[in-house]
Amino acid sequence: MALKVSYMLRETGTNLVRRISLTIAAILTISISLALFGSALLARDGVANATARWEGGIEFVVWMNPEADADQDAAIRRSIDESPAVRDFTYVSQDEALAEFQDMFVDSPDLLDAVEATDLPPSYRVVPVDPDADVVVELGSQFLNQPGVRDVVFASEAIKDIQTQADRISQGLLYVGIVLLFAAALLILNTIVVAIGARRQEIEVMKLVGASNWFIRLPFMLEGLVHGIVGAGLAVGGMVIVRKYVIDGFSESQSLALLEGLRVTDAELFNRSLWVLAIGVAVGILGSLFAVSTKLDV
Amino acid sequence: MIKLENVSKSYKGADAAALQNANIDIGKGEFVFLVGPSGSGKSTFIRLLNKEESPSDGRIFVAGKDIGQLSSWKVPYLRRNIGCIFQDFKLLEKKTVAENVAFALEVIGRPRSVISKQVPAILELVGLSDKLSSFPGELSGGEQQRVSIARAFVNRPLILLADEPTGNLDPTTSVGIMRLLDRINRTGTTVVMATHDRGIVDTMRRRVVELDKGSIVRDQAQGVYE
Repeated sequence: MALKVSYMLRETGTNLVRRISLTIAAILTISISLALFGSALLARDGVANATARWEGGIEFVVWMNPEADADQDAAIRRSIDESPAVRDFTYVSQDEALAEFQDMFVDSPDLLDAVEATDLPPSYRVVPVDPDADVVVELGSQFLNQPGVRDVVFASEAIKDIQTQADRISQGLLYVGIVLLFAAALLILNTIVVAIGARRQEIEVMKLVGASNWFIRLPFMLEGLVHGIVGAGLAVGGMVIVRKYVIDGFSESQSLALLEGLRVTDAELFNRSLWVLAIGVAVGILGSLFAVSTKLDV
Repeated sequence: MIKLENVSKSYKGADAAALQNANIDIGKGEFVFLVGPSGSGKSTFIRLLNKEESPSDGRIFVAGKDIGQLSSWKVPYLRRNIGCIFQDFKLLEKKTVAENVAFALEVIGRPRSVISKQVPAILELVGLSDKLSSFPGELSGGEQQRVSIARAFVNRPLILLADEPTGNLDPTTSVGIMRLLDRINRTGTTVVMATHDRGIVDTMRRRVVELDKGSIVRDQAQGVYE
């Protein structure tokens, strides 16, 4: 068994090194495609975090005073609930607001320590029947001067624009990433086919002396797997850089205040990295499996 | 050891069958020459036995097993019991003599301790103890065929199939190779050898099976070439 493992590793290593230019091409293609793919996912996460408050058609938020009494709160709730211009609304309590805050700033423990539930006002997030800007402003303004209300904040056109543009960009990255992934799978397939061709005589002898099918196939499949894993590893490195210098850069920029909330948590980065690694492994295995099953007649 | 029952083989696009309704029974430890002109079906006969080809019709038994019923993942295990040697040796040029022979054991998962014992022993048997580190390109044709025989026999197969093993060798060298095959046969290994070499067949006087246009036309004990 030990001999078999060392044989497999040696053969895989030899294959990788013998055609180093093809190996590098396959790894780079897969890493670039997965980096684009992963960055698109991170961008989506970032924008979702930045605009979480405005998802699902919410057009304005009625912020209550934390000190508002139950009667004031009930009056606001009733007038929102009974308004024919409101399609839906959500009440976010102080505890829920804190939980949301903790999710958003999970990587900033100092900030989390400094904030408690009582610091955060409860709010009503309102989805109007008609999303037209004038109608929304008119509707929201009705609540502005009511007792117990601290402020009414509207989803600005800018935020909607950011959501739309970010969606477009991340979707574009996703599509380019998918096309490149397909190219990477083809490149892996071709690399393995070339490797099989170069070792045709050896494979013939292996078959003659009774090497099992998987013994012949496995080094080629491992080669594809290495392409996938190394490519995905580089892509994850790329994603870390994108988060640090692009996404965090936006959120720290003073001139782009609207993007202040744009951030990707460590958990999200970890989660997306696992996705990218899994896709890299899958592409590597599928590319090489297709090559050995069609070109390696054992 | 080997039994063919009404075996026929036709290749796609070919006018005539490569083998037609062949029936033969070869016992354990026999030495059989397959003779006949080029295209008479000798190579097809050999390729059917190690399942490089499958018959279009009929059944083939090797060591009592119907090899037509073998699933593809079991074919390698059949081949471990069948050694093969060829006219063109099929040695790996980038491996030394010892590595070529070791390769046959390595790829079927034999432990290193077994390989390090069996490789020098088999190379001594074929008379190449002093060529362990040589590359095939540095050897004569006869020596290369000896390496090929060592590789085919190192796993002690039940059957040795030889397709024109002396086809590329001069008569003197051929005699040496035949002596070696005879010696292997005496250990109980069944040998089936396709050949055009009249001198060898007439000298050895073993069972001769003659093929013509895919049919067995003669099966003679202690036979001659024709």
